Amino acid sequence: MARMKFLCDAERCIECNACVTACKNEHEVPWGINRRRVVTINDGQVGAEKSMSVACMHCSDAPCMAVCPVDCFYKTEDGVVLHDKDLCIGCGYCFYACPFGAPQFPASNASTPDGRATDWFGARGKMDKCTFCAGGPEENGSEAEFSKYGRNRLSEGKLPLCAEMCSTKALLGGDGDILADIYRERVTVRGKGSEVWGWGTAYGKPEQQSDAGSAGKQTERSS
Amino acid sequence: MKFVISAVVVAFVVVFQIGCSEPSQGVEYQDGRYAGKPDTPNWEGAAFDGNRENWEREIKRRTRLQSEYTRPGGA
Ligand code: SF4
Ligand code: SF4
Ligand code: SF4
Repeated sequence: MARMKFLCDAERCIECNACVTACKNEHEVPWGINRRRVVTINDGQVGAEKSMSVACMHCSDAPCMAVCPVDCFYKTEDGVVLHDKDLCIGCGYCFYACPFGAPQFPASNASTPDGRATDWFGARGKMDKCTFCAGGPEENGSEAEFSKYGRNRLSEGKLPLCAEMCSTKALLGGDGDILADIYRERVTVRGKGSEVWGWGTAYGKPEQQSDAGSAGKQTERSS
Repeated sequence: MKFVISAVVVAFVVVFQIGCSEPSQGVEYQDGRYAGKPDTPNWEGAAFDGNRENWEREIKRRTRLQSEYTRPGGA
């Protein structure tokens, strides 16, 4: 069983925002909502600037699902976190719970009857977020599904458009195990090793000691 | 009056508790079958005609195509 995930390679993202544009166009996402955004740090600093494309990460342990008071989220068999707009009450809890700011609310609904903009509790309209291009609870590929959640590419055997059209292949989407293999191969080609996926970071940097230690042992063994 | 106050307090507590609930965050299965909210699976449709294996094969094939090191004609 495929387990759908995204992976964005910060060494490759060139902040072109094509993923953002493709998503908006593919799903006819309303004004005020960006299901995907590109975040850049150290902007303009040569060598230190990094960009990363962010949308819903379809978390394995999704905080948005945990907090929704009307339980409108569900996870499909392939690990995609979807929600039911017919149930959503627009409370915004999921927005506060999500570490990536993925849930979005239509700006047009966030106004008082006399037209003043507001973000009052409950005045946000139905939540919208990245669907991994997998639509929603309505029938696959139906008009109703498209109008609420956008196109259902997964049911056509296609991957998320944002990832499939990324020109540098910084943004990858699809089966998590295969994505991990692709990324592992990339970092190996770049001449990196285990420090990239966390061992060195998580357990400190004892390499010099252990190098010295193992060198010592080798010397011992060879003597 | 007392009754009204108690009713309001009970209603408040119930609503407050709903706000503090924590629905499950995993894929729900029962007897080895998907038992989450109803949604047509991706393989049930015109493109795959209910053939799950074909759908998975196609998705994995397209996922692999994202690597220019392994795709035909890649670097
Ligand atoms: S909306 Fe946020 S918390 Fe929920 S699955 Fe997506 S990234 Fe995770
Ligand atoms: S805004 Fe909608 S989806 Fe988000 S927590 Fe509230 S009811 Fe649930
Ligand atoms: S997977 Fe689809 S819905 Fe999600 S950001 Fe990409 S294009 Fe948009």
